[in-house]
Amino acid sequence: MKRLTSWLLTLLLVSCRERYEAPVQLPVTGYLVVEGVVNSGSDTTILKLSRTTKLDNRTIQPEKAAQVKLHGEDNSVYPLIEKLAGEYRTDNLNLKNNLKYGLEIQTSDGRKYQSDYVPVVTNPPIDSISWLRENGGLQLYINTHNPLDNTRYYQWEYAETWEIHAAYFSSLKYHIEQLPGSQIYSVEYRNPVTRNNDSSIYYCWQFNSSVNLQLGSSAKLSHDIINLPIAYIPNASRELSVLYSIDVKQYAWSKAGYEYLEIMKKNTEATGSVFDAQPSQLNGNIHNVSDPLEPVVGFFNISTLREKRVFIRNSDFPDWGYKSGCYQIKINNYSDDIKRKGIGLIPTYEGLSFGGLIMDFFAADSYCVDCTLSGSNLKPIYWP
Amino acid sequence: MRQRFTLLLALAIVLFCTRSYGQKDSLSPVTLDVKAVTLNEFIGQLEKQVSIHFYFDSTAYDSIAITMNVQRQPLHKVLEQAFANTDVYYTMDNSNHLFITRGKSIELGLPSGFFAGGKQDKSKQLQNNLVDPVDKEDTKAAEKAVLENKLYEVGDKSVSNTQPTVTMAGYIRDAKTGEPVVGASLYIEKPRIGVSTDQYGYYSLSLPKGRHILNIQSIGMKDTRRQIVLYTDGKMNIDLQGTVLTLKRVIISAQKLNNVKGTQMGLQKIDIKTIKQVPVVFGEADILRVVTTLPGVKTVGEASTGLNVRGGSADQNLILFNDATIYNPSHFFGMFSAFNPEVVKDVELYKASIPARYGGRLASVLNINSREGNKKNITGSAGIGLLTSRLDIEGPLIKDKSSFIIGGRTTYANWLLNLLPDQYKDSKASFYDLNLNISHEFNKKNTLFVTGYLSSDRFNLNSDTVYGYSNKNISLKWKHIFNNKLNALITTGYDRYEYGINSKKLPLSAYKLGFDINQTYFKAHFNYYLNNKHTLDFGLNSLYYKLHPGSYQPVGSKSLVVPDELSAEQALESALYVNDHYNINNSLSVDAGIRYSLYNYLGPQDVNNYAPGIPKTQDNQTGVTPYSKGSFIQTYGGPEYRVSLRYAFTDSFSIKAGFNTQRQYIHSLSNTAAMAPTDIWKLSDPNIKPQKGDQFSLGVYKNFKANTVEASVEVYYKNIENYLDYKSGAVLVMNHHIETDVLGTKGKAYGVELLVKKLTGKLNGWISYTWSRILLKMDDPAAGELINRGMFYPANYDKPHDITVIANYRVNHRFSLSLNGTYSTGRPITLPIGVFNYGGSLRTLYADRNAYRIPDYFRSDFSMNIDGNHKVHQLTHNSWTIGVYNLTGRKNPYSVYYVSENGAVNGYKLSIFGSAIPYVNFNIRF
Repeated sequence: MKRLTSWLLTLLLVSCRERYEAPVQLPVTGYLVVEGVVNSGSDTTILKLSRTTKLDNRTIQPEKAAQVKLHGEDNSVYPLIEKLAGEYRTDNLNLKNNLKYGLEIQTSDGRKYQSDYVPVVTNPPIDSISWLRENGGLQLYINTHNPLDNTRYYQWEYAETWEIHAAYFSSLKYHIEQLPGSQIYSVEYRNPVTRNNDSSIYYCWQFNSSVNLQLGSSAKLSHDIINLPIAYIPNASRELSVLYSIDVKQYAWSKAGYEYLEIMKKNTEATGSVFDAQPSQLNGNIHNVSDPLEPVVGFFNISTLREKRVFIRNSDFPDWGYKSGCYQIKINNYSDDIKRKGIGLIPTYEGLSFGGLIMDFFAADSYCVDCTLSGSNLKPIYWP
Repeated sequence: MRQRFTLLLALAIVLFCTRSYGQKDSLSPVTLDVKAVTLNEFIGQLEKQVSIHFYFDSTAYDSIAITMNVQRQPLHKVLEQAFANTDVYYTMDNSNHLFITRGKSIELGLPSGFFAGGKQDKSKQLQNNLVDPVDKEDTKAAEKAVLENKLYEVGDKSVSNTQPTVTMAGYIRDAKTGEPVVGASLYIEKPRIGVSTDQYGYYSLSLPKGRHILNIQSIGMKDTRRQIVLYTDGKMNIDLQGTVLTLKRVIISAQKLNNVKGTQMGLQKIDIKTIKQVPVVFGEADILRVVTTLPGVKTVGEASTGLNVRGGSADQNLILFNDATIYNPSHFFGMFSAFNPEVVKDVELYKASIPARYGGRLASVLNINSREGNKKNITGSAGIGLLTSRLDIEGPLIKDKSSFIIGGRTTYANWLLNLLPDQYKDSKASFYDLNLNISHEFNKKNTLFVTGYLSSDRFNLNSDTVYGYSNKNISLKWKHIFNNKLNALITTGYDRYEYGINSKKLPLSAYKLGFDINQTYFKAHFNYYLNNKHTLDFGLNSLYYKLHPGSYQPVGSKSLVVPDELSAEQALESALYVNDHYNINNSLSVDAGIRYSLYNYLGPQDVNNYAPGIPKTQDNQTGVTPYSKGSFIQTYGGPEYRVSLRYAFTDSFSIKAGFNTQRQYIHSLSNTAAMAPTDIWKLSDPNIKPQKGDQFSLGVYKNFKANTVEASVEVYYKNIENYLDYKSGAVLVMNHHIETDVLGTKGKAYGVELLVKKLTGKLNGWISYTWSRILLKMDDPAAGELINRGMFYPANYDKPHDITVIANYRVNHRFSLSLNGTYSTGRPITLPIGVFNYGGSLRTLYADRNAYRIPDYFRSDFSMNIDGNHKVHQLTHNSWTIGVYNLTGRKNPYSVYYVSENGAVNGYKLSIFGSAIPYVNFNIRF
């Protein structure tokens, strides 16, 4: 029976899901998209304006040269200025918690959009970011609470950074002598004086940021307490091979805004399985003043920004087990041997040498030696 | 078997036999003057005058009255005159023995097989003269011959009775197992009068008094006949022989098929033998899958057993399993139906002329009848398949009186989940179902049936969230026969459907969610055979609902989940109905019925109030009205009309028309394409009106080739009111104001259905084609949100073209092949109207619902049935089913969707079965 089963498995293991683009004529599009949360505090507010595009051309065009303003119920007006294409900014809004504010956008083609007036939503500080070993990897959790129990609806965005090291230090490099009709290879020290390793290709950083809408609510709990998984570091992955850091931004949302994001998430991230809800229309709180039926993507929301960064060290997880999968080979320091074995590799360090005269040396695949091939060697300012 | 047609004179029992001795040459002339004397008396008179030895069966000729006045006539003239215009013959041998016979005269001289066999029947039934040939080893045939040639007296001949017609009734049973034979037809040729048995094998037939030959036919049974003589109303039970023997038989199909003759429209009936022949995925004989091959029945896709009948949604089907309502008829995410094929006898689907006795759903009634157990011996069967194993045991509790059948199935399906699309990897699933049926015949007039059903599913779909659902049903049914004309069925029972979800991974938010429907019902149904022209059905139903629409509870001490419970809902749905089946003449008959349904939404309940004329939203809520226990919060109701009419041009050609209206007071709410196990059900209340539907249908029916090929064309048009669709982003679970998230829509459905069916012969099967549409519309501005700007939009299961071919070929009695093919238009889907960037990812924007379609669907399946040897006397009979589902390996899309992954939008086509799936099943019967 077991053999039969495994035979059937092999026979049937044909993926049932395949890439597909519907061959249909799609209608005109180009609806306004408003992204971002207005920061009621002193930090910067950025609203990104763009237009929807057709399914067969997914290059997003920023919406330039629009006039974007916030209106308070107290008739205060706060303009947002376009700094980058489609990015409208302002600082130090310091909005009042007891007032409602609305957004007004006039696009360069003269169309005018207005949002409903919404209050500022309180956003409690992030308590902590904690982690647990799960399935071998590391599951990170966001922990927040509001003792007043009145926030309830949250959204997070995160940015991960992790330090990576090349598998091998390199103190050597190839020297190529151009002769008519041939090239002569040899190795030499990167720094003939110190004969030091080149740390600029050894220490690097990689980055990743959240692409899914990270939503969480305590609406069904007795207290406004959040303990939700936010990011996952797979077992033995490079993320935690040295030092890992995550920076989490927390926004608080109104109930309606949260429901809007939930629909957007369901529509775009949780589709396709048999029991997932069917996609539905998104009805936000921003409308074309003269044509209320025109779809506008985005939900105008105001909250303070809360942010927290944590670092996690590889040394705290001695069994992490990251393997680079790299190995070195030994090459004799003469042109024919280098040409035979060493093309495409990067020399690491010398084997047998006599006072600077290298008899043979080690070399490895370039990605094992030069970390800039997979990351950036510019140390982030927040890195310890 | 080679049949030798020789004659056997059965000298079995001659009750009255007067003897006298004489010689042929001594025959003296006869003088007689008699008035309306019986044959007995007549012979008595003759014997006084002639020395002849008369042999005859005195009671067989009770109906003959002889009036004669002759003076000195020869005996043979007297006899000829006496028997003129009757079927009585006489024969005299040369020893002056005179034999009086009926139907045929006696051949003098003994046939070769005379002393070979012929069991003598010692019953008090009277033996007639001629018996069909008998093979000496075939006692069954002999028995049959004896049965068929006995003269059965029905009623009491001593009672003088002036009415011209009398009624006989009784049960038709399988002689081997004692199970009732459903749908057997009984008829006499002259005049042409016939009925068929009901689901308990019961029949009632009004015939002119006197002598008849009653023909009995049923599919899977040997055709037989009974000689009857009717005096007054009486009973007669008939046992039929199955056709397990490899006899070649002639199928007489003159009356076998009732699609032309019946007044019912849109009724499809399939027996389990047919169901088992149709190849299905993993070889699990699947009732609901086979139902979807019938015209007018669709499903959204392979992962759904939800049926869409003539534009109805899945919750508009009343699925009855021995009168118990099954709310979720599926296992394993809807891939299999939850009915054990070994326990099921047959399936009837009413999609147009729904009888007045059924109500409460708009689209159809799917009536699944289970078998009664074998009343003679303990038998059973077991099957081993790739996914499930099953065991069924049946037998008598008291021989010939009561029987039981118990069946169970369970799965070992986890390995299969690895084959499913990626989302289901690391998933687990298990299910089982159990059936128990007990029937007990107290006496000829009272029979009791007990049915129990339990099905349970548990699964987690690639997560820590565990889903489970279960059906539990028990029913008690009492069939009482008052007299031949009136019988009653009293049913009471309890149905429960529940589902639960729990997730324990995050201690702070560990929860369990529960939902259940409970219903207790009482049904009294009476069937009154008034006369040949009128048959009345009437009765009342009462159904008490108790729903727990949701309970959300913390799990574990750390959980901060606030217990939340939606208050229980209760309602009473009652109905009174009467239906007259009226045969106006041989060509025209009418079924006219009315059902008055009444629905009461009962307290205790807190009902949300909304300002009239504006959208029902939380902002427009004006308050809450509390109602106390037992109060009548809201009453809905009204008449439902069920009319159908048949006009038969010839015996094999008729047209039918029908009109019927339906009301539905319980609705399922779903925003998934497939019927999900977590769909909730909602009772009508002051804010959610009952659904109403009416349907007009017209059909033409024609049988060809001696009624072995049935063809029909039906057209229909249907209006639906208050069908619930969900608002964009509706939350259906644990919603305290569900009325704000759903919309009442109007629907219209129309279509043409063609069916050509051949159920006999080496090659049998059917071809069905349907063209149909189902369109919904939400244009009431007071409802808040217009779907698709108030225009008509197709429902999820709107698949205009649909063709199915089912073909079975019996190579020989042990080997048969089946092939089926199905094609349909792709179902509607909602495709994005644009792409935008938000939250670090490209995303899709949706607007109009169901504006596009997925690619068309095509699938073909193949299977082989191999039976072991057919020797009757062996310990076990076994058979193999080997087949391939989706023979061409076509990746039929279940859905086409776009998903944001790693910042980009990717389009996918999801197929449930992306390759050909071979299967093998082993079945054993003991």
